[in-house]
Amino acid sequence: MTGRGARTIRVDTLARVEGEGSLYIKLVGDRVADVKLKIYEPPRLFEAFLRGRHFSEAPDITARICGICPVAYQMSAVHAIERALGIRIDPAIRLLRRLFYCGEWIESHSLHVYMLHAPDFLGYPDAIAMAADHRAVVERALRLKKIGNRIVQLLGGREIHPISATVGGFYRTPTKQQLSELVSDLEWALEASLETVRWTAALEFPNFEQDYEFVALRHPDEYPFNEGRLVSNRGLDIDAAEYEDHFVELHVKHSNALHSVVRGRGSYLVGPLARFNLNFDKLPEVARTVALEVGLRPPVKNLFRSIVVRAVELVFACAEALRTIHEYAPPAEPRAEAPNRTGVGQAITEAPRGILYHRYALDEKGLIITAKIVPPTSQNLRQIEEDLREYAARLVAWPTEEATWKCEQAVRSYDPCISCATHSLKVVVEREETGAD
Amino acid sequence: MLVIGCGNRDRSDDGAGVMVAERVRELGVQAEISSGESLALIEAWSQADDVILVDAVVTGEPVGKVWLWDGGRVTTHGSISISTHGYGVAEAIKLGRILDRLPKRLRVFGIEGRDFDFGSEISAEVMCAVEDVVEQITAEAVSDSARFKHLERKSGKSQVCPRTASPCESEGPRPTPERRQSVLRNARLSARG
Repeated sequence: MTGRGARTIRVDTLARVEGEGSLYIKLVGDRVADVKLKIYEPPRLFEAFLRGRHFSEAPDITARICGICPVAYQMSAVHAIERALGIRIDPAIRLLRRLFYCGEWIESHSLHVYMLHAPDFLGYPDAIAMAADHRAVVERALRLKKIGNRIVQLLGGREIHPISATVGGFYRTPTKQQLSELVSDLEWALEASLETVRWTAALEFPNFEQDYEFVALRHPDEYPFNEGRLVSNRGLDIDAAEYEDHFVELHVKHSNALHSVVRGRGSYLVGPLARFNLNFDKLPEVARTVALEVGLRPPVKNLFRSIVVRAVELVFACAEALRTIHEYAPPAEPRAEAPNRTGVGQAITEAPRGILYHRYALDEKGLIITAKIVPPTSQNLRQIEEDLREYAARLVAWPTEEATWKCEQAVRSYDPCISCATHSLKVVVEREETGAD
Repeated sequence: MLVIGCGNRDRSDDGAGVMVAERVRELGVQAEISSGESLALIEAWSQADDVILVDAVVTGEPVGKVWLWDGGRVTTHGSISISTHGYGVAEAIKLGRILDRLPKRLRVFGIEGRDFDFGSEISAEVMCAVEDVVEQITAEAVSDSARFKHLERKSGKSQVCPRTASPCESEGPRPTPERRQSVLRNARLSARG
């Protein structure tokens, strides 16, 4: 053992995460003295510059927060504003919004599972090195992602930062024929996703389980995207309007992203693991069956297994996309009227990385008085640091280089989107020898 | 021929590639704009056999210098593309090569930039380089195909630096055939590593 000394694990720029930040872990003997996920990107101040803008601009402005999950921002924005205005949407629009979200989940999960996270398990520095030995796997990832892109492009007008979603619906809705053209690709994607589950389940996982508070939406009939109550495995069961009564954002010195905690309890986990554990019974049969086939059943408490859960959610997203296309009949109008009026509205939707909360207060001209946005990565930050504190303690005997690699892998299990939380990730593991006792 | 302009118009000189794509498209050349994200690039260039990719670069050479690399041979050691997850232009070329998904002919114009901070202002030297690249691409398109005959007249308009509204010659010499050879030679040297 080298546990007598003190050392620091430092990763100055965490790779294969969305955005920039760094990781600093100080080990003293067998003890983890300090863990800091340093988010040094400057604050992006979206909430401030939404003030005074008309509500109709919010979906397009907030979509710019993230290039990976713009649909999530558009969905939380339109639902919160529709709630403030008292708008009811056509069931066909609701269906299209689920399909829109399926597209984003397919894009984001296929990118993360194959290109960002799998290299950690297979011992490659990146997906390019991995591609040389696992060409078919990377080809599958590219094709899956492209199918997600096609859905987002069709419904959103373009692949990145879509522009068609608006309060009340869409600026333009697709024809049944346009959606039907996606079916053969999605049927392939469903099969490829099933293979993805089996492929990821065969990876080796560190034995690391934690007793998390899982927080996710729960809907009576569906695996959650846009609607539902916010629930947890520790008794939380609230409407989006009550979110700020139960959660609070804290400023920490080393991070430009706020840390969100459950009032009176502390850290919590959002994202695939939370959704899966709280909504396993709402997954379509094809997803439940393959999960059980590979031995994945709730509660999954090992965050490294989130790669398998993401793959199960890929199965869900493909199956759900096929269902929505099958059921779709174009609405009479592409969007409901959205007259100006005063009001306050909150909404939570499930971004690929977890719940995304928006609140808007509007004046009589429809201008935004205040806006509040709590992205999923802010909600996971405190939990990431706590996990690393536990995990790093098990790595004290490891050479620094390997310990650093393992810690990075742990961070990537969350698929953190630092662009959302502020914007980018660096990692640093430092060991400081203090001499033998 | 497909031109793909990479970059971000809101990141100062990083907008150079996008601007080239916009300019040649106005002149009738098929062109796409890309953030430079690897997977999107591979998809974009799989539509064509002959692709010209344009991106801002930093190699330490003078600002506004125009590089021309053979994408099929170039050795890349990194990318300045501000793309999600760090998969940018260089990674797209590497990955495309591994997966046999590079176009038959891939040329990469690199425009040496200076300022990559937030903002839409592009350095004067980079603006002239943009015009230089636009001219080279359109000249080739004209000679390439009768379909581009109408370009001959239009491409003559690109002699003025849009930022300074002065002839580009005032910012530096127009690229002569000799200079182009030099750029090509540099690119070949660079391609060898």
